[in-house]
Amino acid sequence: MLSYAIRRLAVAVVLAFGVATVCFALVWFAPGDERSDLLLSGRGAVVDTGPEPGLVEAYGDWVGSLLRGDLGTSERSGNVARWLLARLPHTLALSVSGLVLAVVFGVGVGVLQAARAGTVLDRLLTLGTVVAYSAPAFWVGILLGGAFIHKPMELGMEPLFPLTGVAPPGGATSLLDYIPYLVLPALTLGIVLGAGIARYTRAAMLEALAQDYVRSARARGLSEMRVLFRHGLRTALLPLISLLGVYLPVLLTGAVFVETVFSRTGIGLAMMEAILGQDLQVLMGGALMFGFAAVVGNLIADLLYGWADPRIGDAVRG
Amino acid sequence: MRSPLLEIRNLGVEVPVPGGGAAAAVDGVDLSVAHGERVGLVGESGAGKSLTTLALPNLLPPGVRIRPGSSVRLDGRELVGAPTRDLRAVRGKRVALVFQDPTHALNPALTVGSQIREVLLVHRGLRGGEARAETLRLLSEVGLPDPARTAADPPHRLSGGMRQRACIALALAGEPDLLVADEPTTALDVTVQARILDLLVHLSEARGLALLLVSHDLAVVSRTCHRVAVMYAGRVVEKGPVKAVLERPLHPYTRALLAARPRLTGPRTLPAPIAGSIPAPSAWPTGCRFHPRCPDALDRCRREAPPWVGLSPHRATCWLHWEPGGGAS
Amino acid sequence: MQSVARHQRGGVGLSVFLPGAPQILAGRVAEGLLALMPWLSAILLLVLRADLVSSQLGEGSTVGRASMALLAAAGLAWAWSLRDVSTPPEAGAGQGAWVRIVRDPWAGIGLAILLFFAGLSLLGPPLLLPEDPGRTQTTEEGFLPPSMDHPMGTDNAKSDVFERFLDGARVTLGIGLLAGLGGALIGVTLGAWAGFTGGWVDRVVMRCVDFFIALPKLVLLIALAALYDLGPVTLALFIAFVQWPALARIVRAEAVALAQREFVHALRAFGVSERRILFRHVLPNAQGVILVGTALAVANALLIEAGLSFLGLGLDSASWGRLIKDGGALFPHWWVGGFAGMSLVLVVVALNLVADAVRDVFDPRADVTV
Ligand SMILES: Nc1ncnc2c1ncn2[C@@H]1O[C@H](COP(=O)(O)OP(=O)(O)OP(=O)(O)O)[C@@H](O)[C@H]1O
Ligand SMILES: [Mg+2]
Repeated sequence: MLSYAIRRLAVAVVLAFGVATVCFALVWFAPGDERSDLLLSGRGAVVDTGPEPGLVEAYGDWVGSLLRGDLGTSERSGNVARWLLARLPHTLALSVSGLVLAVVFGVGVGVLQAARAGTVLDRLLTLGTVVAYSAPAFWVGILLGGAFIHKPMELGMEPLFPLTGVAPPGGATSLLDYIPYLVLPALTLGIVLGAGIARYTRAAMLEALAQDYVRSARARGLSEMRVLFRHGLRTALLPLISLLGVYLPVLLTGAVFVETVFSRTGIGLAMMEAILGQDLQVLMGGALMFGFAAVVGNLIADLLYGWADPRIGDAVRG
Repeated sequence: MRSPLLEIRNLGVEVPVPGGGAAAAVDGVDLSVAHGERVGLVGESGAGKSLTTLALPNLLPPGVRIRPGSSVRLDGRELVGAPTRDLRAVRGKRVALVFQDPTHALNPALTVGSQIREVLLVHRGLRGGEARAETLRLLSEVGLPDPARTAADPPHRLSGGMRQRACIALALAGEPDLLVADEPTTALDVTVQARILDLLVHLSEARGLALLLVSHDLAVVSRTCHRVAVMYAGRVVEKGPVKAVLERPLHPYTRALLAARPRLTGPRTLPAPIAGSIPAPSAWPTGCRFHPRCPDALDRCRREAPPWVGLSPHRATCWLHWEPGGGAS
Repeated sequence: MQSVARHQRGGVGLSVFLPGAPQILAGRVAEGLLALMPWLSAILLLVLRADLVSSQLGEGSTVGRASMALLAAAGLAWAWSLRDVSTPPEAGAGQGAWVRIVRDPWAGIGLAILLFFAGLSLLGPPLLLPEDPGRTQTTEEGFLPPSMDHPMGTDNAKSDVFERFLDGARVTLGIGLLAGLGGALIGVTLGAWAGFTGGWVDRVVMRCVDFFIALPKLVLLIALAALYDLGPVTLALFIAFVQWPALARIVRAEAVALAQREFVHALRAFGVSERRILFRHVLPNAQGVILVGTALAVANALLIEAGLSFLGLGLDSASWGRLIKDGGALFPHWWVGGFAGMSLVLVVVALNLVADAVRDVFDPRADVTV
């Protein structure tokens, strides 16, 4: 298990390094002045002395400052790292609650479908999950916003949820104040991701329920709930953990769109605003943060998988 | 005499047929098992043995159903048509099943111990230290050398024989009166096979446990059981005390089965395999179902289903032994 | 037997007026819809725009050519349906994989939706829009709800939404198709190469795949689109570039499995060249997963293009994503973004339905997650 963890960790470090390199390359090869803007002026260091640094020098500089946690400064936002970190909690709250909803929806629907396989309910849910699975997050967000906010407003009623933002205008007095602002955005992510999880769970459950050990569990007189959840779902869910690692980039990109739709001031929206305001440091800082988040999430998924599946530990030990 | 523990009357099991419709893969089986008795059920592949055992606590796969008019009584209580709730109280608690392939019968994601404790909780309400102690006791009862370790292991760390022992421990956990074992040794090494069979006999004697042992090997049954029933194409064709059936088989199919066994003693003849195999349930012959493969088939065998002949308790369904006005007791 | 014959006779009458309807009633949804759609559209066109068609038919103009194409398709559909109904069905005929896919009702609906949008984006603009469009057709007022003049209403800039919708269909579907197919091509090639060759090639390719799969690709695409000026082809290329890893992984797995099969060893022993084995024997055996992967790659590419346009980062020209962005909150002007949003979902659903059917037919137990 330990060597497995160390190996995964090493892979994660390489990945993170790769993400940083891709970001650097994006800027270095960009047309126009962007590259000198980002690579020089943002440091708060000397701007205009000497010739432009070469590729190697600039790259070393970039990696060096990244390791120090320095994302540079920009005129619009000041210290970029601090600026982004202040917004990180909103993006994290959205991603985590979206993920939780997705797993609850997805696993719930998938198990229900598998338990009622072949019925009308199963077919309806199959169709529903295909549609939800096919819809982009921004469109689902617009639909939800339309149904719960804008349609009521058009009819002259109070909207069911606040229009935009992450907290009441005067600032939040308690954590509860954030929740109304979180409901629709998290629901959007939950639906979009949950549909994929439901499709997966249904298939995996059907396969698990056809296994001999499920029949043996029934033969022991266990209740249907026990058979479904303890014996069927447990094995079906193991691969889901690693599937979550695959879904993580989807979750993060989803967050960018959802933040844009609902004007949540998270990192995704900060990136969008940075594009409009020509604020290259914030744009690249945001991209880096999302990249690192994906790497860390993948690492967590891998470790969880190794921990949850006794067979992996053995396979690695040999 | 006490009424039998298990009494199967006219059991029929219908399976779906590829072109649509259903065929009776088990067709009118009568069989009983007394308390503490060991009964063997023998036949080739496709005879309907597994479906018979799965039908007892109604664990048939989707699409397969028990034919109306069937009866399965456990201590006189009818199980066919009983609500799932009642069946669940029977499964594992009164009738426990052991399957052919121990590799797949255990949940790979749970430790052996936790699977046993689950049964202890559900059927006997044991939990905590009590359940743990009972788990270890069960594991050592089935002859596992290091119960504590085995309990903490996931199934894939055990060898095939150890897994089957663990499955038997699981079956015993609910303290059943009847153990139904469907070819429990087929998937195992020859040396391990014998030890598992000895274990089953030992448990049956020590606990007064009745055993219904399915096998396609008469030798297995002869060393373990008191009585045997031979199945062919969904029907019991011969039944009786093991010794009688083996020494004086009445049905040509039983004889062919005996001849097909490789013999270690006596003259070294090659085993005589029975030509052909059991057809699919949808294509079963009229009359005696064995007649297309029977070396001595009469004209009558092709047309009419044979009656029961022979003196109770050793009887068979065959025209060859039928005497008008007698025979059938 | 008799009821079949009677059904057939009734079918002939029905198929004269509604070619495809008998097939739909018989459960062959795809074939029926494929015949019914061009027929209905041709009739609609003749009813609604008889003047346009009669003046342009036979001319070398775009409108003339588009009308000809539609009428020819309708004629073909009619002839096929009639012939199909009047020939007795052969027992047990046509159980090949492709026939089974087309006859799967859900895949049929999916294929019909795809064909509908393909026809709409190709034939729609010349036939359904005024002759002299003048790209930003200014109307009297902004935010007019749908009407006969403006089937999808008008937007804030007083443009006709239907016109923008048709333009957007071309852009979104075109780039989606290009990027999806491009990604599939890269993925299949690399995956097959890696899986079939093995060794260090395999390791290098698969490391790249792992890397790409873990990246939040869309975020990087956003940065890319913000920093660089992308034309349609470069955009498609970059979208293709984030598509290939998923397919490479699937095809590689298949190629590894196939490369170990006996028949491949046998072919080698006969001196068949590696390349020939790969293209003639291994890849055709993997056609199921390739097809599924390609359909899903196209779906993904569509969503990415629409997403970038929604953020204002795609091409400058119209796209469904841009239309959805301009639609803003769905109410009160639901028609601005609504049609584009629904169509986008519909097309992706159709691709998924087809992919599901292909997967079921080729390998009911395959677990392809892209
Ligand atoms: N789920 C099912 N659907 C359709 N037919 C089935 C099903 N299960 C069993 N059958 C058919 O019923 C017949 C009897 O099957 P069964 O499994 O009881 O045989 P068996 O005597 O246990 O054979 P074996 O020695 O191979 O285990 C076989 O012909 C089989 O094809
Ligand atoms: Mg069997």
